[in-house]
Order: sequence, then C-alpha cells, then structure tokens
Amino acid sequence: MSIRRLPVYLLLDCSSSMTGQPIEQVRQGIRALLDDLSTEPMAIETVYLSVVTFNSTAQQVILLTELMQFKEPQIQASGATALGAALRLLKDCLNKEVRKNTIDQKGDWKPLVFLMTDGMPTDSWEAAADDLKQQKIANIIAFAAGPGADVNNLKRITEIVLKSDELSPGALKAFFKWMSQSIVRTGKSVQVMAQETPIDLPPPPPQIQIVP
Amino acid sequence: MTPFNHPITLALSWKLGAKLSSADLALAQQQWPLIHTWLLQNDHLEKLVTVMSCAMTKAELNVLLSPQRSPHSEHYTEAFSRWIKLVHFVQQTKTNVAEVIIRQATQWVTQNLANSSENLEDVICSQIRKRLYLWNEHPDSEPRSKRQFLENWLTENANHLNRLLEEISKPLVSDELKMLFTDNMDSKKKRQATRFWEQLTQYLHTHLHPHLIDTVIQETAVYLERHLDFPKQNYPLRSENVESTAVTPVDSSPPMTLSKPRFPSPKWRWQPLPEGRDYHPEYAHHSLTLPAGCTLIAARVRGKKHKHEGTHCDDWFEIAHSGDWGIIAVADGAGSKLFSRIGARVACQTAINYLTEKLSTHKISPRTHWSADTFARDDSYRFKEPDLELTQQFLHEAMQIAYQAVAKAHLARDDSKYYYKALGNRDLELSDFASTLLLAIHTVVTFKDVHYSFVLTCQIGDGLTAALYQNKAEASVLSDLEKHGFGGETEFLTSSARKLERDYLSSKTYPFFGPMRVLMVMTDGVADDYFPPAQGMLRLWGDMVLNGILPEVTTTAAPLTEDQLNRLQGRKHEYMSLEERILEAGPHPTPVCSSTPYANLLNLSLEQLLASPWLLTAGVPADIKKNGLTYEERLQTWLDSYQVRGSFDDRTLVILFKNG
Repeated sequence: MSIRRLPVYLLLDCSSSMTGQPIEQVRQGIRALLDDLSTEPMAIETVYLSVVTFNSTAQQVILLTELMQFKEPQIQASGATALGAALRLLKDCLNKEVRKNTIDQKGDWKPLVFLMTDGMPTDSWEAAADDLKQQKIANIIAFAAGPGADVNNLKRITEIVLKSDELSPGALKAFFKWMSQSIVRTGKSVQVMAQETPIDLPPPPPQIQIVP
Repeated sequence: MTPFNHPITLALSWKLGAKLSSADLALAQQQWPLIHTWLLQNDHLEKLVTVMSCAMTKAELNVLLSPQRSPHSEHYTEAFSRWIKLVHFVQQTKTNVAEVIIRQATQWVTQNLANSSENLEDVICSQIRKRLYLWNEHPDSEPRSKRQFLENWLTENANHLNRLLEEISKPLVSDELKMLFTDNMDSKKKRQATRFWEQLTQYLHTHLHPHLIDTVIQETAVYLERHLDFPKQNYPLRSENVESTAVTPVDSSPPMTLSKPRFPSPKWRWQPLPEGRDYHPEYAHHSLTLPAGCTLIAARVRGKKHKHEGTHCDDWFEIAHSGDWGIIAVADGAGSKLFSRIGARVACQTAINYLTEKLSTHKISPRTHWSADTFARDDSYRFKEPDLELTQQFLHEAMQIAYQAVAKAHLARDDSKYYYKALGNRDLELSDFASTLLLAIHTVVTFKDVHYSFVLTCQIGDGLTAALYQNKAEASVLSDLEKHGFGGETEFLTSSARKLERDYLSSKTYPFFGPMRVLMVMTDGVADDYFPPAQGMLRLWGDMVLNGILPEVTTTAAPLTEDQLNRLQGRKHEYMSLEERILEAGPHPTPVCSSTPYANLLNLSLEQLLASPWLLTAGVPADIKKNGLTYEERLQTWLDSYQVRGSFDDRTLVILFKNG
C-alpha cells in the first residue's frame, strides 16, 4: 500500500536580477525549510519536495523526493525570467508525479506549490497561467518578491498572492519561514472541504502582505 | 590517554550513558564518588561542563565564526545546517535559547573588547546574530568600519575565538549537564535535565555526529589530563579481554540509553487535551449485546497528530440496541475546524436517538420468498417493498434530523464571546461544525432456519462501511469510494442543504442481505490504512482476529498441520511487533500482530488464510490472550498502537459480529 504524500513544489525565479544576496537567501531559505520540516514527525512521514528553477529556461532540478532523502540543489542566478516555461513544466510534473485517487490507491494530498519571482516574465506565460488556474490541480501560492514583480500577473495564476515591497534578505527569509509553517499546517489539517477555500494558511510575517 | 580507558573517563562515560562491560561498569561506579567530590570543589564542574558543551558544537561553530570562513563552501554550508538543526532542536525545549546565546556572546565580547571608545554593543550583537544565522531582520545597516571591528579583533587574538565559542556553546546544554553531575538536586529538575540530555544525545546521534559521545569523552579526558590537581591514587588494574556485555546498572541515577530510535525522526509527543468548553474525552470504548447472538463493540482513539499538537480527537461514535435492531453512528469532524468535534458528537447522538425511537417496534416482515427482487429499488433508489422503504426512510430522516441538530448546536453557541475569541475574532459558522456521518442499522432475518443479516447504511463524507460474508472470504463495501480527485477532499453533513433531500440520500444508501460474519463501520483514519477495501477489509478483519479483538473461531478440524506448527515455533516475532503506543507517560511498547506476515509464515496466501479463520485464532499470541482485557478494550489498544506510515488521524471502528 502506498502512502499518501503531501507533494510540495518550489518554483523559484533564478534570473540574473536575483544575483548576489537574494540568491544566497534562497539557498539558505531552502536549508532552513528542510531544517524546520525535519523537526516535524508528520512532515517527515508525508512531505515530498521538488524544486523547479526558471531563468531563460525552466528545469526541474530536484524530482519529487522524500524529505529525508532530499539533497539541496545547486542554484545560480542568471538569464531571463521564463515564467511561462516554468508553469508548463510545473503542470507536466504535477501530472506525472502526483498520484490521483483511483479504485486501487489512495491519491496524494493536493499538492502545494510555492512560486517565488522578483521580476516580469520574459516569455509568453498567459495561456499556461489560465490553464493552471482553471485546472485546480494544486494549491498555488505566489510570492512577488520586491517591486519588480507584478502582482496582477500572479493573480492570473492563483488567488493566493503575497508580496513584499522590497527584495530584501529579510523578506525572502521570512517567506521561506512562512512556507514551512504553511506546509506543516497543511499537513496537519489535510482534510479540506471540496467546495470551500482550499487551504488554511498561517498569517504572513510583517514584511509580507497578502494581496487581496 | 584514550577514552574509556582511564577510570575517570570511564566514570564520565557511564554518567553520559555509554555502554560499558560489567568490569568497567564496576570500576566506574567505584570511582564516581571521588570524581564527584572533586568536581564540586572550586569551579571544576563549571569548567568541565563548558568543555563538554563545547565539544558538542565546536566543529560547527569554528567554521561559522572563523574570520577565514568562506560562506560559499560546502564545508560552511554543512556546518551551518548542523548548527541550525541543533539550535532548533534545543529551542523546542528551551524556547529562547537563541536569544540567550546572543546575549551571552555579546556580553562577553563587549566586556573583553579593549580600547573601544565607541558603544559597539548593537553592532556586535547583530554581527554575532548574523554569523550564527539567528537574526530576523536586515543586518547590514551598520557602517562597515564598525562591522570590521569584531572581525579584526577575532582575527588578531586567536584565543578570543575559542572563548567566544565557549560562551555560545554553554547555554545549549550546560544546565542539563550540571544537573546530571550534581547528585543532590531537586529530583524534578534532575528528571527534566535527564530527559533533555537523553533526547539531545539521541538527536545528535541520529542527525549530526554519530560519534558524539566519543568526542565528548575525548575532549573531557584531555581537559582532565591538564588539570593536574586531580588526586592521584592507585587505580585497580582494568582486566583486559573482559567480555563486553552491556549491563544495565541498577544505580539510583542510571545512565541514559543511547540506543538509536527506530525511525530517524523526531519523537511523537503526547500533549493533554486543551482546556475550555466542549470537553471531548480522548478515548472511548463500548459494547452492547444484540438479539440473535450478535454483539456490538466500538472504540475510538485520538490520532497521533492530535496527541502531538495537544488538540482534540474529532471522531465520535454511538451504538444502540432497539427492538430487533443494532444501530451504529460514526462521525469524523473536519480536521481543519476547531469545533468540528461538536458537530460529530451532536450528529451521532441525534441520529442514534431518532433511530432508537423509530426502530423499537419496526420489523422486517416475514416472507415466503427472499431474492434479489425483494431488494429491488426504483430509479431514485426507493425500495419497492414498503417495509424496506420505511426502514430507508427512517435512516434518511435520522440524517436530516442530525443536520438540524448540528445547525441548532451552532445557533446555541452563535452569540457567545467564547467562540468568537477562540476563532480569532470571527463569528462561529455552521461550517465550523463540519463533520461526516455514517449510519448503519442491522437486523437478523430467519428464513428456512438460516440467519440472514439485513444491513442498511447511509453515509455523507468519507469513512467506510463493509460487511463480510459468513461463508466466503469476501467483503461487500457499503460506501461510495473516492474514485477521482485528491486525498482529503470530502463532503460534510453541513456542506449544503442538498444533502437533506431524499433523492441524494438514497443515492448514498447501500443495502446488504446475506449470511454475515461481521459488519464494520469506520472513519477514514482506519479505512485509509486498509485501502483498497475489497481486499483491505478482509485484511482488517484478519488483523482483528489475530489481535484477539474478535472471539476465537473454532473448528472441528485440526487447527494447524504439523508442518505449520513447526513453522510457527518460536517465530512469533515475524508477525508480532512491539509498536510505540503514544501515551501520557511516553511511548509504550505494545504487541501488534499483522495477518500478512502471518500468512507468509504459514506459507499461505492472505486469501487462503482468511478462508480458514481458525488459523488466525491459533496465532493469537499469549501476550494478548492473557491480558485480561475485554474485546472493546483490545480494540481500543490496537487502534491506538498499529503503525502505518503517514497515518496519524483519529481512528474509530465499530464492529458488529455473531458470537461463536
């Protein structure tokens, strides 16, 4: 019997505007996320993590992996912001890796996707965004890190959009911290109502606002 | 001096929980009073504790604090990750440990930073914070020149780094170590310290330093070597080649066990139920005797996640006997709703009361002929036979009345400030009482001297009801199965008024008629562990027989062949494991048997085994047979003990079975 997993996808903008401290913050954020989650017995039993990075192209740098087997990805900042490619890749990953309920197996919990971007998309992304939003195959949380990202674009992908006014290490760190709280919280109250708001998220830290 | 060799280090190793041979242990115990006296003189204890604390974190901190550090190296990354893990772990017990570390380190640097005309405390504080990744705000607001101060100072004075490292290490473990080495302490504090130390070393062993205790002992030995004022005396010679059998000492302050945990995971905790209104007992079990030689047993347990978080069990069940009928109600309050347990309880109680009243004189009419046609239903799932349709109507009315009662329970609490506050300043909504509801009623019809069970079920939301045939290893699932979508998406009694309509309820109603061995009604906490149900429900039943939860199945045939008896001989551990039942006093090892490995042991398929249930009875271990518990108590214990990865929901199971 296969276990029910909570698949978590991190979609991280690694374009050249993230160079320097921001990308270092992302690396440390991933580590801190792993450390936080590995102190939660529930997360250890259920959370599976995957990392998709995007710059001029999109790549799944870590396949969906059990938390305790997860190896930190090597990430570098360079290039453009191919959000459309990232969204299409995400959809492929979700379809390929996430188990649905069937007559013989209990499906995974509905995946959580954390999308972080600091800039404007440089490719065609609108159709992929509409597609994802309409299909409802994951609970997507988008984070506009700093003034360069357009919250309206992100709203086209998901209803849950957060933003910070600055692309500061504090905000990125806070976002990853909040991410781990959200994962733990989702893992705990996985029973959600089909018709209602998808997930119960913790309040964001002061540097981050929810975009209504 | 090598660790474990010198009598002093032997004694310390023993105190720190290392496993010693019996000869070494005797030596260690003999030396301890002397060492203890010496430690308590002057500030030896203080120093020793610092050395030991330091040994636990030195490697990481050296890398992190060193002025020569290179933040992008793999080395650095690893050290950082280990340090953060350690701090997080300690923080779970000592909440403000990061702050204490910062304060202590800053204080030390400020005091020792000579020739500083400026007030640099803030800068030092934020720089240490930054180095240790304990900061929560942007740390780079200070002028560069000031930041350079700390850096230069640490570089210029090599021993400063070591001292700083000591200051930082101390708050993590020093209190606990002190307690361990000081025999005449308040026993409560000492117990806490022992517990913390035990958890910490276990954690460090699992996650960080596999040779931690060796390192600690080594460092300690070096320290002791340097302190020459330790009284010299003639130690008895240590006998070489002593057989190194680990012995558990029976001393009043025994060492902690450092055995590795079964899973490389942090421990599941047990936390009490929250204070406040709407008390909901953590456990429940109950049994009832029914007509026609049937018995109902039921139990529910608080799931591991709720124990861990100190939140309520959201499941509820009620069972009743009325007239010819056995009545079962099971409900699972939504995990995401703070007061869903009220919905679960009110729904069960209301439905049970209603059905008890309506079924007390209700009978299934005797018939000269029973067939599939008897149970024929029309396009909207109404039974064509009036007595059966009336039964279905009662069931649906019970569902509707349960919904109304939950709505009433909502209104009764609606204007209460208590709930408004508990929900973080928002009004109570009906959906806060969201719960599933599973109803099942059972009666026995005798036809041509054969007992047939008639079961009718109705269910809103997840969970499962299944009946097992008496004469064949086959389960009849009396619930809708989730066929698409993701896990955890379910509907609730309170989801919409549409649920109240008879057409909808009829589509959720399943009948069973036939010779029946057992009827099982459960929340998804159990159903998910036995998925898919067609085969899973048989395995569930097999597990219950094997765990002594159901009466023995007897047979005139010899229960086991000689070959099978031989196979079973002394191999109980292959199908019985000791699982950690999470109780208030801590994890409690509890025997749990599984039918799949048992079938393997007998060289049978699971289906073959279940078709010969007396074989299961033969496998019930004496540990369970003789534990003096009732069936329902065993059910509760088992529900609370069996382990499935990723399964930590509340578990409720109601079983109706024929005696003998």
